[in-house]
Amino acid sequence: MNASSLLRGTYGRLVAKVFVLAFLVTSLYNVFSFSRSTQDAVSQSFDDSAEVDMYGLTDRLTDPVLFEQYRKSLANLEKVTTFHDSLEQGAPAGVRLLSAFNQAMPVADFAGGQAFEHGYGTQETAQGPYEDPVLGKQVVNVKSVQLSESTFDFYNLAGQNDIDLDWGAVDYDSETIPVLLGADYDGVYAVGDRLTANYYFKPTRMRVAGFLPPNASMFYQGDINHFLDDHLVVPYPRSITGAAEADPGFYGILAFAMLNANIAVDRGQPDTVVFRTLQSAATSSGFDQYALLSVPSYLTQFASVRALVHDNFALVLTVECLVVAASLVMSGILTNSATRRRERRIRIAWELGQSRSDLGRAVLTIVAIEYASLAVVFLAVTHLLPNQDSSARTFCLTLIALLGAADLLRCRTQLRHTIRHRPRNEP
Amino acid sequence: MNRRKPLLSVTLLVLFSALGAEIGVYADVRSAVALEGGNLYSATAVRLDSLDVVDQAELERTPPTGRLFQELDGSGHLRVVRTLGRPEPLPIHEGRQFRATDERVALVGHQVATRSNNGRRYVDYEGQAFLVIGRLGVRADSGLAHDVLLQDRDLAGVDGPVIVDIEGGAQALPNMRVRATEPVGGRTDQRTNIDYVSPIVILCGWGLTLFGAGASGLLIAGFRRPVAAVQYRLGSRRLRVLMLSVLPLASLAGAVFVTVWGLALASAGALRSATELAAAAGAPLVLSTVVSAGALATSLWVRNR
Repeated sequence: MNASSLLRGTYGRLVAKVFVLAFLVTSLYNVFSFSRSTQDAVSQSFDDSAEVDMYGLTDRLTDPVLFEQYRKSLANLEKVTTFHDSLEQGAPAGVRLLSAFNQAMPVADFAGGQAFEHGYGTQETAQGPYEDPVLGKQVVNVKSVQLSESTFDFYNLAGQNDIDLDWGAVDYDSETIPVLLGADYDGVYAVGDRLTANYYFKPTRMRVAGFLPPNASMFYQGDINHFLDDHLVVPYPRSITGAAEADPGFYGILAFAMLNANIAVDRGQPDTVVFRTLQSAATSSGFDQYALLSVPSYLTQFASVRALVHDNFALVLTVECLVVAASLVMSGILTNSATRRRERRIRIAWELGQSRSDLGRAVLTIVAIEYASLAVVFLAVTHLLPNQDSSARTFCLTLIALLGAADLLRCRTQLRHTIRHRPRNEP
Repeated sequence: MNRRKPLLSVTLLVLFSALGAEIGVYADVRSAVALEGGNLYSATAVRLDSLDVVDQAELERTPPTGRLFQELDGSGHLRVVRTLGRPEPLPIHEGRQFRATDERVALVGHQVATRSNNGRRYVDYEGQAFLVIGRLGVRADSGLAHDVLLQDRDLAGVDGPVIVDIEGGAQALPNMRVRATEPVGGRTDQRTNIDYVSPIVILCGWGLTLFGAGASGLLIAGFRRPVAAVQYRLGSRRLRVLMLSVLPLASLAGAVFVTVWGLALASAGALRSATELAAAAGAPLVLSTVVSAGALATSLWVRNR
């Protein structure tokens, strides 16, 4: 007896079973890839270590005239930079200064489109290209964020393909500054490309050191979903104390820009720790023109966005459980009904003297056909899906193999059961 | 054997009806969660500088499906909304959705103070009272706890930036004259690949539901076929034999429908949309019944007495 005569009359059921299992495995593939992407999202932005009390730090020199006067004195600038350094390096454990500012960066001969322009997609309007007097070239104000190493680390930012910024090499007096580009810049610029920018009225050369992964985000100006995909990320040097003498104009602005920061305080630390830290930085530096704001929106958004990410996962998982249940029941019924049909034929073949190994081979062929077509359908379908995930695919193929093995075992048992105690004509 | 077949039939009907209803609930809750994560804007929402690029009269005559938002202050928490058609449900955990015909009503977050008058709750804006018809947020302590949405035609101005969130994107607006629009939606969903995964899960679920419902119909017809054949042999008319098999099945399906629909409505909470869930729970049952009747009819009409 061969497999095809055993299959006769059950082709419909076989195809139906393959389809039902294909729905099952494809949906599992999706859920698996989704669970990994959820894990990544949680570990990038919603790790327990990021559940902090957030404060906002800024200077109090809001009057432009006072600000100009203050900035003119090198001694004052020294105070500001020392204040920054003492917060950055001398803060007690559990208190982190997260310095970041979104000053638009005029870039000469910009190769990207309008979506990269500062103000695009917000209530402000994009300005378009203009002639920059400092560079003497056509420039575009592009979306940019300047940030410190601790900010970069706090938000778990990293370059794609393990390319990372060498923070030690960030020196604003050197020829070029290494910068990172958001993921949308892929195809616009390449690693190693050089940009010319007007960085606070100073012509600055920047070198593309790498790209951020897609959907890299940070908390900025009250928005936890501040994505950096269309941003130019410029690193701050670790310290600018002592640098102001060379270029007081540039470093004067930079020193105050670097004061725009959030302060992250680990939960469980008393409120007073942030005041005491600032106080001691003020005493040691002589700069006391700072203002501190509580930013409760960070924790609220942190909790609600994390809950939403988990909600999505719970929702998908609930539906998946029903899909699994329904497809297992359905394939069970189909298998059962096909088996009963085949059972009669096997019994007759056995009684007519067919050998046990021949029958066993026919059953094996049927199981092999079922699960090989399942694997082919699965691979074809997932090939068309937008979310490619090789480990999810391996997982699903293993699952198909396991299901096939279990099914084969069941078929062999069934076969033994069918032909047991049956009379037969020995050939 | 006699009890096994009816039990299996009921199990199959319940299973696929429940799967259909569950996908319906999932789709509702999921779109609400997506809107909550995107500050109530879907991924196709765009910002226009003003609405005067759109033919207002045409908008009245053939409204698309979706919402128009305008911010009333700089905080981003106070917005006026105009509902067009019946868009995807907003995330609420209490009360009901806006309807296109509603005027002077509000959806507010859990933390928003409201005024009680004759058992109804109101919020006031510029001296006008707005009836609170529901509470925003998939759950009470959501990121929308301080948000206020007002629906009132008089508040919505033609000029000033407007966020257009309609099915098919801003290009679906009548006589849309500008091509440059700025996307505003997406956001929280951007963090994971849910935008890819969710439609596929729905597709797989529906595929399995319809396929399973059809196969169940065939299986149930198979259970009934021997009895029907005997009845026909004994002299009953074909139609009568068919009705004797299909009517009990249909009433069984009806009972299953009521149960599953009720459970689905309860589990969807404030996000329920009765007609959509009825369709989701009913479609597999109808399919099973129709396929079953068709298979039985075929087997009867090809048979000779």
